Amino acid sequence: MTSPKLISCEHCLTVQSNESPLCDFCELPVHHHTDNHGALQRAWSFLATALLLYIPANFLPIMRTTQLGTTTDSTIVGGVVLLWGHHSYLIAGIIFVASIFVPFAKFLALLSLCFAQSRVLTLSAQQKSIIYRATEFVGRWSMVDVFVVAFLTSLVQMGELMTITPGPAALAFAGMVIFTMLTANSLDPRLFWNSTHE
Amino acid sequence: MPLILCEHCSIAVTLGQLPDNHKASCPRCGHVLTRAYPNIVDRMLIFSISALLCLAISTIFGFVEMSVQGQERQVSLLDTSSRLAQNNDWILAAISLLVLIVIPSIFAALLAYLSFSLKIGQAKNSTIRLLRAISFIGFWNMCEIYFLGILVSMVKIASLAHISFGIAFYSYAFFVLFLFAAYMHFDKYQLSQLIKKSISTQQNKVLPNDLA
Ligand SMILES: [Zn+2]
Ligand SMILES: [Zn+2]
Repeated sequence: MTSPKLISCEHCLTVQSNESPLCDFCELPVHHHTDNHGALQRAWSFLATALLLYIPANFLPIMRTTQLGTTTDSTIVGGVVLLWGHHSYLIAGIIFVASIFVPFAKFLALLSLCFAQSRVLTLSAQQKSIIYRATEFVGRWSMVDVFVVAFLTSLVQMGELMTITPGPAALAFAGMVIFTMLTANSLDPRLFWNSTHE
Repeated sequence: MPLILCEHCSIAVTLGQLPDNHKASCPRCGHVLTRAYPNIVDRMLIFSISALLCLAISTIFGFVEMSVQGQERQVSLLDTSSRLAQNNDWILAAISLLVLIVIPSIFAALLAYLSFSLKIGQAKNSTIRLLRAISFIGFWNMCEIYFLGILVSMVKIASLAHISFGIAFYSYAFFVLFLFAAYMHFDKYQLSQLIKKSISTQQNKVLPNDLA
Protein backbone atom coordinates (compact mmCIF):
# COMPACT_ATOMS: atom_id res chain seq x y z
CA MET A 1 0.00 0.00 0.00
CA THR A 2 2.84 2.44 0.76
CA SER A 3 4.82 3.89 -2.05
CA PRO A 4 8.18 5.12 -0.70
CA LYS A 5 8.69 7.29 -3.77
CA LEU A 6 5.86 9.67 -2.90
CA ILE A 7 6.43 12.81 -0.87
CA SER A 8 4.08 15.53 0.28
CA CYS A 9 5.05 19.22 0.13
CA GLU A 10 4.97 20.66 3.65
CA HIS A 11 3.68 23.99 2.39
CA CYS A 12 0.92 23.14 -0.09
CA LEU A 13 0.47 19.38 0.59
CA THR A 14 0.85 18.51 -3.11
CA VAL A 15 1.73 14.82 -3.40
CA GLN A 16 4.59 14.22 -5.84
CA SER A 17 7.51 11.95 -6.54
CA ASN A 18 10.63 12.82 -4.54
CA GLU A 19 12.95 13.40 -7.50
CA SER A 20 13.07 17.18 -7.43
CA PRO A 21 14.29 19.21 -4.44
CA LEU A 22 11.56 21.78 -5.14
CA CYS A 23 7.80 21.29 -4.99
CA ASP A 24 6.07 20.82 -8.37
CA PHE A 25 3.37 23.31 -7.51
CA CYS A 26 4.64 26.00 -5.15
CA GLU A 27 8.37 25.62 -5.94
CA LEU A 28 9.35 25.78 -2.27
CA PRO A 29 11.92 23.24 -1.00
CA VAL A 30 10.47 19.87 -0.06
CA HIS A 31 11.57 18.27 3.19
CA HIS A 32 12.62 14.63 3.35
CA HIS A 33 11.82 12.93 6.63
CA THR A 34 14.88 10.80 7.08
CA ASP A 35 17.00 12.62 9.66
CA ASN A 36 16.23 10.39 12.62
CA HIS A 37 19.54 10.84 14.40
CA GLY A 38 19.67 14.65 14.61
CA ALA A 39 16.03 14.93 15.60
CA LEU A 40 16.45 12.27 18.27
CA GLN A 41 19.51 13.97 19.74
CA ARG A 42 17.61 17.24 19.95
CA ALA A 43 14.66 15.46 21.59
CA TRP A 44 16.95 13.88 24.20
CA SER A 45 18.64 17.16 25.11
CA PHE A 46 15.33 19.01 25.41
CA LEU A 47 13.94 16.20 27.55
CA ALA A 48 17.00 16.15 29.82
CA THR A 49 16.70 19.92 30.34
CA ALA A 50 13.00 19.56 31.16
CA LEU A 51 13.76 16.79 33.67
CA LEU A 52 16.40 18.95 35.37
CA LEU A 53 13.96 21.84 35.68
CA TYR A 54 11.30 19.49 37.07
CA ILE A 55 13.18 19.23 40.38
CA PRO A 56 13.30 22.96 41.36
CA ALA A 57 9.81 23.38 39.83
CA ASN A 58 8.42 21.01 42.44
CA PHE A 59 10.54 21.70 45.49
CA LEU A 60 11.00 25.48 45.41
CA PRO A 61 8.13 27.87 46.19
CA ILE A 62 6.10 28.98 43.19
CA MET A 63 4.34 31.86 44.95
CA ARG A 64 5.02 34.11 47.93
CA THR A 65 2.12 35.81 49.71
CA THR A 66 2.80 38.64 52.18
CA GLN A 67 -0.21 39.54 54.26
CA LEU A 68 -0.02 42.01 57.16
CA GLY A 69 3.66 41.29 57.70
CA THR A 70 3.50 37.50 57.47
CA THR A 71 5.07 35.83 54.46
CA THR A 72 3.83 32.43 53.25
CA ASP A 73 5.64 30.44 50.57
CA SER A 74 3.69 27.86 48.65
CA THR A 75 4.91 25.08 46.43
CA ILE A 76 2.79 23.49 43.71
CA VAL A 77 1.81 20.54 45.88
CA GLY A 78 1.26 22.89 48.84
CA GLY A 79 -1.07 25.01 46.70
CA VAL A 80 -3.21 22.01 45.81
CA VAL A 81 -3.40 20.89 49.45
CA LEU A 82 -4.37 24.42 50.52
CA LEU A 83 -7.15 24.66 47.91
CA TRP A 84 -8.45 21.25 48.92
CA GLY A 85 -8.48 22.36 52.55
CA HIS A 86 -10.54 25.43 51.54
CA HIS A 87 -13.06 23.09 49.88
CA SER A 88 -12.27 24.43 46.38
CA TYR A 89 -12.35 20.89 45.06
CA LEU A 90 -12.82 21.79 41.38
CA ILE A 91 -9.88 24.20 41.30
CA ALA A 92 -7.76 21.83 43.39
CA GLY A 93 -8.61 19.12 40.84
CA ILE A 94 -7.70 21.34 37.86
CA ILE A 95 -4.36 22.31 39.39
CA PHE A 96 -3.61 18.74 40.44
CA VAL A 97 -4.26 17.42 36.93
CA ALA A 98 -2.51 20.29 35.11
CA SER A 99 0.51 20.73 37.39
CA ILE A 100 1.17 17.33 38.91
CA PHE A 101 -0.47 14.54 36.92
CA VAL A 102 0.01 15.84 33.34
CA PRO A 103 3.74 16.71 33.65
CA PHE A 104 4.46 13.34 35.24
CA ALA A 105 2.48 11.42 32.61
CA LYS A 106 4.06 13.49 29.86
CA PHE A 107 7.56 12.68 31.10
CA LEU A 108 6.72 8.96 31.10
CA ALA A 109 5.30 9.22 27.57
CA LEU A 110 8.22 11.24 26.17
CA LEU A 111 10.79 9.00 27.89
CA SER A 112 9.18 5.88 26.42
CA LEU A 113 9.08 7.48 22.94
CA CYS A 114 12.72 8.58 23.13
CA PHE A 115 13.84 5.19 24.43
CA ALA A 116 11.83 3.46 21.72
CA GLN A 117 13.40 5.65 19.02
CA SER A 118 16.84 4.93 20.48
CA ARG A 119 15.95 1.21 20.27
CA VAL A 120 16.25 0.61 24.00
CA LEU A 121 12.56 -0.10 24.30
CA THR A 122 10.41 -1.97 21.79
CA LEU A 123 7.11 -0.37 20.93
CA SER A 124 5.04 -0.87 17.79
CA ALA A 125 4.60 2.07 15.44
CA GLN A 126 0.91 2.02 16.35
CA GLN A 127 1.67 2.33 20.08
CA LYS A 128 4.16 5.14 19.48
CA SER A 129 1.59 6.99 17.40
CA ILE A 130 -1.03 6.77 20.14
CA ILE A 131 1.42 7.95 22.83
CA TYR A 132 2.60 10.81 20.61
CA ARG A 133 -0.91 12.04 19.92
CA ALA A 134 -1.80 11.89 23.60
CA THR A 135 1.18 14.09 24.53
CA GLU A 136 0.88 16.54 21.64
CA PHE A 137 -1.84 18.81 22.97
CA VAL A 138 -2.06 17.96 26.67
CA GLY A 139 1.29 19.12 28.06
CA ARG A 140 0.70 22.82 27.33
CA TRP A 141 -2.13 22.93 29.91
CA SER A 142 0.52 22.56 32.62
CA MET A 143 1.31 26.24 32.07
CA VAL A 144 -1.86 27.17 33.96
CA ASP A 145 -0.10 27.41 37.34
CA VAL A 146 2.56 29.75 35.92
CA PHE A 147 -0.16 31.98 34.52
CA VAL A 148 -1.96 31.98 37.88
CA VAL A 149 1.21 33.25 39.55
CA ALA A 150 1.85 35.85 36.81
CA PHE A 151 -1.70 37.18 36.98
CA LEU A 152 -1.90 37.25 40.78
CA THR A 153 1.42 39.09 40.94
CA SER A 154 0.16 41.78 38.60
CA LEU A 155 -3.14 42.11 40.45
CA VAL A 156 -2.30 41.74 44.13
CA GLN A 157 0.14 44.59 44.86
CA MET A 158 -1.38 46.29 47.88
CA GLY A 159 1.70 46.95 49.94
CA GLU A 160 1.46 45.95 53.61
CA LEU A 161 -2.11 44.76 53.21
CA MET A 162 -1.44 41.96 50.75
CA THR A 163 1.28 41.40 48.16
CA ILE A 164 1.94 38.40 45.96
CA THR A 165 5.32 37.79 44.33
CA PRO A 166 6.46 34.88 42.13
CA GLY A 167 8.78 32.25 43.57
CA PRO A 168 11.73 30.70 41.70
CA ALA A 169 9.66 27.62 40.80
CA ALA A 170 7.44 29.69 38.50
CA LEU A 171 10.21 30.17 35.93
CA ALA A 172 11.54 26.64 36.39
CA PHE A 173 8.06 25.29 35.77
CA ALA A 174 7.51 27.48 32.69
CA GLY A 175 10.86 26.34 31.31
CA MET A 176 10.01 22.71 32.00
CA VAL A 177 6.72 22.91 30.08
CA ILE A 178 8.35 24.72 27.15
CA PHE A 179 11.14 22.13 26.96
CA THR A 180 8.67 19.23 26.98
CA MET A 181 6.78 20.97 24.15
CA LEU A 182 10.06 21.31 22.24
CA THR A 183 10.78 17.62 22.86
CA ALA A 184 7.43 16.57 21.42
CA ASN A 185 8.00 18.97 18.53
CA SER A 186 11.33 17.45 17.58
CA LEU A 187 9.96 13.90 17.49
CA ASP A 188 8.68 13.43 13.95
CA PRO A 189 5.85 10.84 14.05
CA ARG A 190 6.64 9.86 10.44
CA LEU A 191 9.89 8.35 11.66
CA PHE A 192 8.01 5.91 13.92
CA TRP A 193 6.72 4.24 10.77
CA ASN A 194 9.84 4.62 8.62
CA SER A 195 12.03 2.85 11.16
CA THR A 196 9.81 -0.24 11.12
CA HIS A 197 10.77 -0.84 7.49
CA GLU A 198 14.52 -0.68 8.06
CA MET B 1 -8.95 11.44 -7.39
CA PRO B 2 -7.12 13.68 -4.89
CA LEU B 3 -4.24 12.09 -3.02
CA ILE B 4 -3.07 13.02 0.48
CA LEU B 5 -0.09 11.77 2.47
CA CYS B 6 -0.79 11.21 6.16
CA GLU B 7 1.09 13.87 8.19
CA HIS B 8 1.85 11.30 10.89
CA CYS B 9 2.83 8.16 8.99
CA SER B 10 3.36 9.20 5.33
CA ILE B 11 0.95 6.63 3.91
CA ALA B 12 -0.74 7.72 0.65
CA VAL B 13 -4.53 7.90 0.94
CA THR B 14 -7.00 8.53 -1.88
CA LEU B 15 -9.75 10.86 -0.74
CA GLY B 16 -13.24 10.40 -2.09
CA GLN B 17 -15.87 13.12 -2.01
CA LEU B 18 -16.26 14.07 1.69
CA PRO B 19 -19.76 15.08 2.82
CA ASP B 20 -19.95 18.33 4.85
CA ASN B 21 -18.85 18.04 8.49
CA HIS B 22 -17.35 14.60 7.91
CA LYS B 23 -13.72 13.74 8.56
CA ALA B 24 -11.32 11.40 6.83
CA SER B 25 -8.94 9.45 9.07
CA CYS B 26 -5.74 7.65 8.19
CA PRO B 27 -6.39 3.90 7.76
CA ARG B 28 -2.99 3.05 9.27
CA CYS B 29 -2.40 5.36 12.25
CA GLY B 30 -5.84 6.93 12.78
CA HIS B 31 -4.65 10.55 12.42
CA VAL B 32 -7.42 12.86 11.17
CA LEU B 33 -6.40 13.76 7.62
CA THR B 34 -9.00 16.38 6.88
CA ARG B 35 -12.46 17.57 7.84
CA ALA B 36 -14.89 19.09 5.34
CA TYR B 37 -16.51 22.24 6.70
CA PRO B 38 -19.25 23.98 4.70
CA ASN B 39 -18.42 27.66 3.95
CA ILE B 40 -15.01 27.19 5.50
CA VAL B 41 -13.63 30.52 4.23
CA ASP B 42 -16.64 32.60 5.32
CA ARG B 43 -16.66 31.02 8.76
CA MET B 44 -12.93 31.51 9.28
CA LEU B 45 -13.21 35.12 8.17
CA ILE B 46 -16.16 35.94 10.44
CA PHE B 47 -14.65 34.21 13.49
CA SER B 48 -11.20 35.73 13.08
CA ILE B 49 -12.52 39.27 12.49
CA SER B 50 -14.81 38.93 15.53
CA ALA B 51 -11.83 37.73 17.56
CA LEU B 52 -9.76 40.77 16.54
CA LEU B 53 -12.62 43.13 17.42
CA CYS B 54 -13.04 41.53 20.85
CA LEU B 55 -9.31 41.80 21.50
CA ALA B 56 -9.37 45.49 20.55
CA ILE B 57 -12.24 46.08 23.01
CA SER B 58 -10.31 44.18 25.71
CA THR B 59 -7.37 46.56 25.49
CA ILE B 60 -9.52 49.66 26.06
CA PHE B 61 -11.65 48.85 29.10
CA GLY B 62 -10.95 47.72 32.67
CA PHE B 63 -10.17 44.04 33.09
CA VAL B 64 -10.47 43.07 36.75
CA GLU B 65 -11.00 45.14 39.90
CA MET B 66 -10.30 43.95 43.41
CA SER B 67 -10.89 45.55 46.78
CA VAL B 68 -9.48 44.60 50.15
CA GLN B 69 -10.65 46.50 53.26
CA GLY B 70 -11.70 49.53 51.25
CA GLN B 71 -8.50 49.66 49.24
CA GLU B 72 -9.23 49.26 45.53
CA ARG B 73 -7.09 48.20 42.66
CA GLN B 74 -7.91 47.91 38.99
CA VAL B 75 -5.90 46.23 36.26
CA SER B 76 -6.28 46.48 32.51
CA LEU B 77 -5.22 43.77 30.08
CA LEU B 78 -1.91 45.51 29.37
CA ASP B 79 -1.27 46.01 33.12
CA THR B 80 -0.93 42.23 33.47
CA SER B 81 2.56 42.51 31.98
CA SER B 82 3.54 46.12 32.73
CA ARG B 83 3.04 45.63 36.49
CA LEU B 84 5.26 42.55 36.37
CA ALA B 85 7.90 44.58 34.54
CA GLN B 86 7.72 47.28 37.23
CA ASN B 87 8.44 44.54 39.77
CA ASN B 88 11.46 43.50 37.70
CA ASP B 89 9.89 40.13 36.91
CA TRP B 90 10.99 40.59 33.31
CA ILE B 91 10.58 37.03 32.09
CA LEU B 92 7.08 36.63 33.53
CA ALA B 93 6.19 40.04 32.07
CA ALA B 94 7.40 38.93 28.65
CA ILE B 95 5.55 35.60 28.93
CA SER B 96 2.33 37.42 29.89
CA LEU B 97 2.61 39.90 27.03
CA LEU B 98 3.39 37.18 24.49
CA VAL B 99 0.74 34.73 25.64
CA LEU B 100 -2.12 37.15 26.31
CA ILE B 101 -1.66 39.65 23.48
CA VAL B 102 1.20 39.28 21.00
CA ILE B 103 0.90 35.64 19.90
CA PRO B 104 -2.93 35.44 19.79
CA SER B 105 -3.26 38.75 17.93
CA ILE B 106 -0.76 37.69 15.25
CA PHE B 107 -2.55 34.33 15.14
CA ALA B 108 -5.98 35.93 14.63
CA ALA B 109 -4.60 38.42 12.11
CA LEU B 110 -2.99 35.67 10.01
CA LEU B 111 -6.21 33.62 10.05
CA ALA B 112 -8.15 36.73 8.99
CA TYR B 113 -5.63 37.57 6.26
CA LEU B 114 -5.67 34.02 4.87
CA SER B 115 -9.45 33.77 4.77
CA PHE B 116 -9.76 37.29 3.34
CA SER B 117 -7.38 36.59 0.46
CA LEU B 118 -9.31 33.40 -0.31
CA LYS B 119 -12.62 35.25 -0.03
CA ILE B 120 -11.64 37.80 -2.68
CA GLY B 121 -9.93 35.11 -4.77
CA GLN B 122 -6.49 36.71 -4.52
CA ALA B 123 -4.39 33.91 -3.05
CA LYS B 124 -0.76 34.32 -4.16
CA ASN B 125 2.17 31.94 -4.12
CA SER B 126 3.19 33.56 -0.83
CA THR B 127 -0.24 32.67 0.66
CA ILE B 128 0.88 29.02 0.69
CA ARG B 129 3.55 29.86 3.28
CA LEU B 130 0.80 31.06 5.64
CA LEU B 131 -0.40 27.48 6.17
CA ARG B 132 2.82 26.48 7.93
CA ALA B 133 3.13 29.83 9.70
CA ILE B 134 -0.38 29.47 11.15
CA SER B 135 0.25 25.85 12.22
CA PHE B 136 3.42 26.97 14.00
CA ILE B 137 1.83 29.88 15.81
CA GLY B 138 -1.21 27.71 16.63
CA PHE B 139 1.13 25.28 18.40
CA TRP B 140 2.49 28.05 20.66
CA ASN B 141 -0.79 29.87 21.20
CA MET B 142 -1.85 29.44 24.85
CA CYS B 143 -4.25 32.34 25.49
CA GLU B 144 -7.04 29.94 26.49
CA ILE B 145 -4.76 28.43 29.12
CA TYR B 146 -3.88 31.88 30.47
CA PHE B 147 -7.59 32.65 30.64
CA LEU B 148 -8.16 29.49 32.68
CA GLY B 149 -5.30 30.67 34.89
CA ILE B 150 -7.11 33.98 35.44
CA LEU B 151 -10.28 32.11 36.48
CA VAL B 152 -8.27 29.94 38.88
CA SER B 153 -6.62 33.09 40.33
CA MET B 154 -10.04 34.59 40.99
CA VAL B 155 -11.12 31.53 42.96
CA LYS B 156 -7.81 31.49 44.87
CA ILE B 157 -8.22 35.03 46.20
CA ALA B 158 -12.03 35.07 46.41
CA SER B 159 -11.88 34.55 50.17
CA LEU B 160 -9.34 37.35 50.67
CA ALA B 161 -10.68 40.10 48.46
CA HIS B 162 -13.77 41.28 46.64
CA ILE B 163 -13.43 40.82 42.88
CA SER B 164 -15.43 42.37 40.04
CA PHE B 165 -14.97 41.87 36.32
CA GLY B 166 -14.81 44.67 33.77
CA ILE B 167 -15.96 44.78 30.14
CA ALA B 168 -12.49 43.76 28.97
CA PHE B 169 -12.75 40.50 30.91
CA TYR B 170 -15.92 39.44 29.09
CA SER B 171 -14.70 40.58 25.69
CA TYR B 172 -11.46 38.66 26.23
CA ALA B 173 -13.52 35.54 26.99
CA PHE B 174 -15.27 36.02 23.64
CA PHE B 175 -11.90 36.63 21.98
CA VAL B 176 -10.69 33.23 23.20
CA LEU B 177 -13.86 31.53 21.95
CA PHE B 178 -13.82 33.19 18.52
CA LEU B 179 -10.14 32.47 18.04
CA PHE B 180 -10.74 28.82 18.89
CA ALA B 181 -13.67 28.68 16.44
CA ALA B 182 -11.56 30.26 13.68
CA TYR B 183 -8.68 27.83 14.29
CA MET B 184 -11.09 24.88 14.31
CA HIS B 185 -11.84 25.68 10.67
CA PHE B 186 -8.14 25.83 9.82
CA ASP B 187 -7.98 22.57 7.92
CA LYS B 188 -4.66 22.55 6.09
CA TYR B 189 -5.80 20.19 3.36
CA GLN B 190 -9.07 21.95 2.52
CA LEU B 191 -7.37 25.34 2.56
CA SER B 192 -4.40 24.16 0.47
CA GLN B 193 -6.85 22.95 -2.18
CA LEU B 194 -8.63 26.32 -2.16
CA ILE B 195 -5.34 28.23 -2.41
CA LYS B 196 -4.19 26.05 -5.30
CA LYS B 197 -7.49 26.53 -7.12
CA SER B 198 -7.33 30.29 -6.59
CA ILE B 199 -3.74 30.53 -7.88
CA SER B 200 -4.50 28.26 -10.83
CA THR B 201 -7.51 30.30 -11.98
CA GLN B 202 -5.60 33.57 -11.66
CA GLN B 203 -2.56 32.39 -13.60
CA ASN B 204 -4.35 30.00 -15.99
CA LYS B 205 -1.83 27.53 -14.63
CA VAL B 206 -2.34 23.82 -15.22
CA LEU B 207 -4.05 22.33 -12.20
CA PRO B 208 -1.94 19.81 -10.30
CA ASN B 209 -3.33 16.37 -10.96
CA ASP B 210 -4.49 15.84 -7.39
CA LEU B 211 -7.13 18.57 -7.65
CA ALA B 212 -10.66 17.37 -8.07
ZN1 LIG C 1 4.34 22.81 -2.49
ZN1 LIG D 1 -1.32 7.89 9.21
